[in-house]
Amino acid sequence: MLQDFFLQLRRQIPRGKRLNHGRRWAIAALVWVSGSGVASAQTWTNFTNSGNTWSTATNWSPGLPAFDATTVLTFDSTASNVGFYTAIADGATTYNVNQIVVDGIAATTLTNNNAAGTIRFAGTNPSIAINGAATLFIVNGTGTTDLTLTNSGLGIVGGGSGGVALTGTIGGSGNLTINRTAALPYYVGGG
Amino acid sequence: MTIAPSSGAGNNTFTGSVILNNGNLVLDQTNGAPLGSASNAFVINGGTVQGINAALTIANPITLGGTFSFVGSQNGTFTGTLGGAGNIRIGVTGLATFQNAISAVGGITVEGFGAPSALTLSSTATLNGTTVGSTSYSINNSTLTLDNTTANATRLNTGATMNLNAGSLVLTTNSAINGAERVAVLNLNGGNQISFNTNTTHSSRLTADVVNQTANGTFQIITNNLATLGGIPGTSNNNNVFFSNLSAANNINGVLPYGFAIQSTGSSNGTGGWCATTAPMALSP
Repeated sequence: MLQDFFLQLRRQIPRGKRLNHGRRWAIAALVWVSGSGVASAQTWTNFTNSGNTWSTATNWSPGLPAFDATTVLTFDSTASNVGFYTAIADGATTYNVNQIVVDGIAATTLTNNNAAGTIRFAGTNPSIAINGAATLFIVNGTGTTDLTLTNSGLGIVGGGSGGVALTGTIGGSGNLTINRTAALPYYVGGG
Repeated sequence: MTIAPSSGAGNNTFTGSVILNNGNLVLDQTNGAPLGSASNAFVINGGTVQGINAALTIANPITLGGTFSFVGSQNGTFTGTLGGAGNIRIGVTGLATFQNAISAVGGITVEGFGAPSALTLSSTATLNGTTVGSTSYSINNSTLTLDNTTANATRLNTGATMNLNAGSLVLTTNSAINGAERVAVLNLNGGNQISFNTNTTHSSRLTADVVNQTANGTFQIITNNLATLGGIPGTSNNNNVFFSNLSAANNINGVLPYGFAIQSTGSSNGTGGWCATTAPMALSP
């Protein structure tokens, strides 16, 4: 495929202005990466519980997620923002994500405040990963379906001590697989 | 991992399986069905399951690929079928009730984590709630009830081993037909009890082909006050326990030395000589 691309490119550039071999490979690599579905990873940055909507670009680093089948959303709270915080999926849209990763220590709440909105897990092996002490709550918002499964299903994974609580409506079609590797808390909620 | 539809959320509507490989799955049924459609398969390959805030009623068919551990403090009623290859471990500090056929191949253990557990195999209108595939039953400081109140059925696998470890086995009789259960081996460890919870017209019978005593294990047989302990089997409300292949050590001059029979006030002793009323237990003629 890359070879074909080079041939097309070469034919369209006057002979005297053609790129050398190294530059051709660099350009090709950029084109390849941008179109090949490499996961886009965004990290949540707003732990103030104010202006905390998903549609606000400054709430994400390095910028607004693409919300497609490769999107990885990381919620990484640190000691400076302990407690709890909420991130609001505010659009009248389907927020496609592939992974939600919770690395931090603060209770993390995701909610949907738009009746037409939903968080939809798509792509290859969609998952929620709990790697830290924080518990993730995906709570009932104003959306008809707060969390939507696809045929790819959803895996709940991670060895962190935090839990996952799904209290909103789960819809769609797909398997929900729990494969936590944390120690088993027998008599308490979460886990 | 908690699935707890809130009051505004209602039932989860997704279609697909819920697969538990590892972890503690906490289900809150207060406001809606956490496992989605009742036809969704619930596949358990490991981990633990528990209810929270309210008793659980799970209608989903359950398939075991590992041990199904039901724990916590909320009661659970399982009305769907239960199959596959795996063990069932009841560790709830309450009651677990299985109302449908259990065809899973594996053992059933009832044991409490800090407090005794109770497991009831019962049924609704049809002959179900059986455990034909189970290889063993271990009752550890807990209670297993075979409840034929609504419908009579043979609920134990006749080829299985029953391990009573300070355990209690209760047979509740149907009002229209006699009940009969059989196991291949009965192992006794600690102080154990076999109870007949019966009525004035029909009875239950428990047969164990082999009985083994471990560490001075004992057992007592007890009836409620409506029934007779001993007497002609299958007649009226005569409840019996049979040991079909006793060793010499278990049959000392016609007495089983570590078994006791107790009748509640108001009950009567059978006249057929199948059981005595007081310790030690006289064996059948």
